[in-house]
Amino acid sequence: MSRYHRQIILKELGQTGQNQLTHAKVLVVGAGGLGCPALLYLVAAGVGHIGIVDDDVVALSNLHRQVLYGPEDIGQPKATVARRVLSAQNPEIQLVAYPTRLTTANAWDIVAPYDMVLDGTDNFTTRYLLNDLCFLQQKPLIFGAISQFEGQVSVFNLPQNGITAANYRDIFPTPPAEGTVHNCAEAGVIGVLPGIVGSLQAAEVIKIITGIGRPLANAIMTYNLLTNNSLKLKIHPRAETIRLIPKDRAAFEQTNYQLLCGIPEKTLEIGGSELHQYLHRDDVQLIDIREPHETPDLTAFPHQRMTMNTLTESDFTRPTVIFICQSGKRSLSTAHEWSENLPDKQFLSVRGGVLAL
Amino acid sequence: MALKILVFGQLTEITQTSELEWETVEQVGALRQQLLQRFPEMAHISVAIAVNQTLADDQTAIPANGEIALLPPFSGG
Repeated sequence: MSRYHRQIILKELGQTGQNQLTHAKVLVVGAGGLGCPALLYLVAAGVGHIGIVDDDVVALSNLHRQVLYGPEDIGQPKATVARRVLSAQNPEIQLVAYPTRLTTANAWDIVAPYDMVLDGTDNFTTRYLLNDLCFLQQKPLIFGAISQFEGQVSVFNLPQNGITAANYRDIFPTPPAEGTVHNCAEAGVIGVLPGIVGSLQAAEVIKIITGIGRPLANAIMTYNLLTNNSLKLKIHPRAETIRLIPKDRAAFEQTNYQLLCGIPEKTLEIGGSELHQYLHRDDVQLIDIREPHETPDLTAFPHQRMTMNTLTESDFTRPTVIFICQSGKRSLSTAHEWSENLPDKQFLSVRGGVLAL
Repeated sequence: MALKILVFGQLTEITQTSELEWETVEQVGALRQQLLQRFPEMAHISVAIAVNQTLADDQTAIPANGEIALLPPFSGG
């Protein structure tokens, strides 16, 4: 008896469908609230080749919804732990872990070997990056996203009966301004919601691979956990969308998705009162990057003094580094530069510099 | 004739309800302007507008008794 017997006896699926699942290659980006349930069902269904991308580590506050992990995994990379747990669930399939952040530098080659991508990310930077990349590579993108008690699910880049396929930019052409949309950390989420939405995404993947049913192509579905209301809205590809997407690999790799999502300027700058709050934490270091002759000296805060041209990676000993200069200009450009070079650390700049304190 | 407007996600924090009644208006662009007048905070959030379960442009006509949906982007995962 095959472990897949109960799904093979579905006449819509059959052995043919099971063979299609065995040969399918699916990349899951984000092994969090959406990725965990999606992965569990894709693995259990026997999808033959699955990649898992996530650069984050397991935290205690993840466990109520990220059901692949336990307390002993805290601090471990999610992609690696997920791979280990899922390999035990189904040793018959191939699992690859990518414990790295998807960036324009690595995304093209990571995505290329896969047939389709499941978006389980938690930020607009990666969502728009994935949307554009999947459009350029013409790969189906199975989208899922949540906000408090509601979810959205859709399938992009999947032509239906010759109708051109819509993508995320046909709904939301450009990213919303940074900070205008809630995330789970700020707004809260009940664990079962991403469980439902991630499972819906897994179902779409299985439908697309085996050609059964009607996937959510050219449509977006909303689901409300509190009311059980769901609504399917049709999407039409818009002529203008193509102009918003980089035209080829080279243009894609030069696109700064962080900037498009409004992350610099607004969030790299902090004011004097925020500086006080940051310096109460022990994971923060303050660096005065002014030339040695510049005055007044900074006496109100513990800090290091290193000029901007001499800074090296080894100077940044804590996860958050705050730069300060005379007027806030040099520190902001330094924070931008290092954010690009070392995306895993947080670099900030004090608005208005020493003169504004 | 009145329109029914379904409101999703964090937009309900602005409208304080998930369903609005609205006076008939001819086009999506005009409706968007009226919504911004009544709910100025909507200016800070991207809103996709659907008419009778189809995503619409500002030029899309709104039939009498049409059902409108206001959809914000979700990022959580």
